[in-house]
Order: sequence, then C-alpha cells, then structure tokens
Amino acid sequence: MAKINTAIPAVVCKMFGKRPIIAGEDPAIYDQLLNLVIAEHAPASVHQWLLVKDIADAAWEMLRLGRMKAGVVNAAMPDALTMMERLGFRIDAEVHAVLRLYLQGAVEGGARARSDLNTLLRDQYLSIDELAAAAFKHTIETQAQIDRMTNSTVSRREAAYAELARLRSLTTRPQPLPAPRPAAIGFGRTEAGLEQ
Amino acid sequence: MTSAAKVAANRRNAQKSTGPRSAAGKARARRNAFRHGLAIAPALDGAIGAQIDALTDAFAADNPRRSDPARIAAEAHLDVMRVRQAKLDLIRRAVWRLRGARPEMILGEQERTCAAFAAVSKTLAACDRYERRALARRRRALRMLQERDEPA
Repeated sequence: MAKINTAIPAVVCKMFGKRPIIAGEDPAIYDQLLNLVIAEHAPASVHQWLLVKDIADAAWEMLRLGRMKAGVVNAAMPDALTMMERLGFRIDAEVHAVLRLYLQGAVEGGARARSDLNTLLRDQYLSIDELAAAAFKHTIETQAQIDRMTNSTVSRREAAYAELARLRSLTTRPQPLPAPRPAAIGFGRTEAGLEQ
Repeated sequence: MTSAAKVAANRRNAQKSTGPRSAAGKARARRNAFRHGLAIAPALDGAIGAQIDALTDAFAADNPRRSDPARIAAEAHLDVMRVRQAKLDLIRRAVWRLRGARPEMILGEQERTCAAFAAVSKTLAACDRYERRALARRRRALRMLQERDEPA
C-alpha cells in the first residue's frame, strides 16, 4: 500500500487535511496519485505545495466525475425498468426480479449476465439499449451537472498549473543577454553591414 | 376589495399558523434554510480560529509585518478546505441516507454511491462556485505576500 510521501513538511501536512475519499475509492491509489504529482513538480515552497495538492485533488475529482457519469446511468437502470412499465411495457412480476439480478450482473461487467439480460428483455420486446436510453433520459439533469463540475475542475487544475509555472519563472530568473558578437547574422551580412 | 369578513377570517387563520411552538420544533426550523454553511466567513467560525493563526504564521514565515495578506491567504485556504470537506460530507451523507432505502432499486455498492452523487449533484455544483472564489482569494493574497517578499 502506498503511503503519503514522508518528505512532505509537517506544516504542509496540516494544510493538506484529510484525504478526499468517498465510498468505493481506494486511499492507497489517491496517495499514489499525490506522490506522482509531488515527484513531477518537486514543490519548493508552501505556496507550491498547495498548488501541487490542488492539481492532485483536481485530477482525483476528474477521475471520480468520469466514473459517476457512467455510474449514474447504471444506477438508474432499475428506475428505467419502472419507467418502461409506465410507458406501457408489461413486465411480469417474477421476470422483474430476475431482470434486476441480471442487470446487477451486467453493470458489474458480466458477459453471461449481459447476454441473459438481453435474451430476457427481448422476450419482453425490449433491449439493453432502450433501457440504457431510458436511464440516460432519467439522469440527463445530473449528466449536465457533472459536465459543469468537470469543466470547473479542469479550470481549477489549469489555474494551479499556470500559477505553478508563474512561480517557477520567478525563481528561475532570466540570464542577462550575452554581449553582441560580430558574427554573421545572415547571408554574407554582419551587424555592420554587407560582408566585404 | 377584500370584505371585512374575509379579513377577519384571514386573521383567525393566521393565528393557527404561527410556526413551531416546541423547543425541538423551533430548533429544527432554525436550520430550515441551512444547506452547507459555506456562506459563513471562516473567521466567524470559532472552531477554526486557532488554525487561522497557525496558518497565518506559516504563510508570513518570519516577518510579522506581512501578516495582513498572510491572514487573508490563511482564511481563504481554510475556506478551500472547508468547501472540499463539505462536498465529501454531502456525498457521504447521501450514501448513508440511501442505505436501506429502496433496496429493490439499488443494484450494488458502486451504484448506491452513484445514485447518492446524483441526488446531491446540484448542491455539489453550487459548492464548486464557493471553492473557485476561495481559491481566487488565496491566489491573490499569496501573490500580494510574494510581491512584498520581492526585493525592490
């Protein structure tokens, strides 16, 4: 299991707070991501440490939002089944229970469950695509919210990158320009004019 | 024109709708408008006053004359942390609420989290706005602090 980089100064550690983990997320993977971002940017001041944490947190949130975008459709599948019934599709009560089981298997990625679900739905004059479309329609508002949150997270990450680059440019001050040399700067030309 | 009888009836009815009377009801109603508590300034939140002082010291490093922007940066940073924590708490509470509710409508743990996320997505999007503002405030304050650090 990866641990948070022990090189993080104590004062910065306090500023970082708790890991931003919710149910189903692995703290070890978050630590790995944070360590990778730290290794890439090698922060040298408190300000830079905070920006590195912003970048890691934004990346973590973007991963979460991507998972949620697909997940909310899967989560709405049982609701979609009920919606289809309301639209006039008749699904027998005992078939409904089996459908739920197959749905669970299918959203977990089981090929067999997906195939069985397809067969069962076909018997009910339905298909997985229709069910997914109904679930998508049911969650369209949430999808839009997730898109907005993703845009906002990307902006936050870009702002942190830009600020980090600005700080770096301040620490690596530009070298003074070298004295002009009387070398050729074009075809047969010197700074003084045409080459003799 | 409203008749006198109607006005009298309205007044009588209004006497019946005076809100909660018990202490528990009043306490509950007091929190009716509470959503996430992010609109309150961190300095007013007594629990984090000591953290602000510690962070201000960390930002100001060794020059106490620079404490103004350092304090603004500290408050803004704690605001950022508070918003991030509020977002996580919102999701966690929504997951907890879904445990045991409508078990026939939840496929698995992952879907439960997604359904919980969907339930609070609007509030989460609103929290983003607070986070963006707090980050901008922190950036401005840290830049100000840095400009003072720069030799003239």
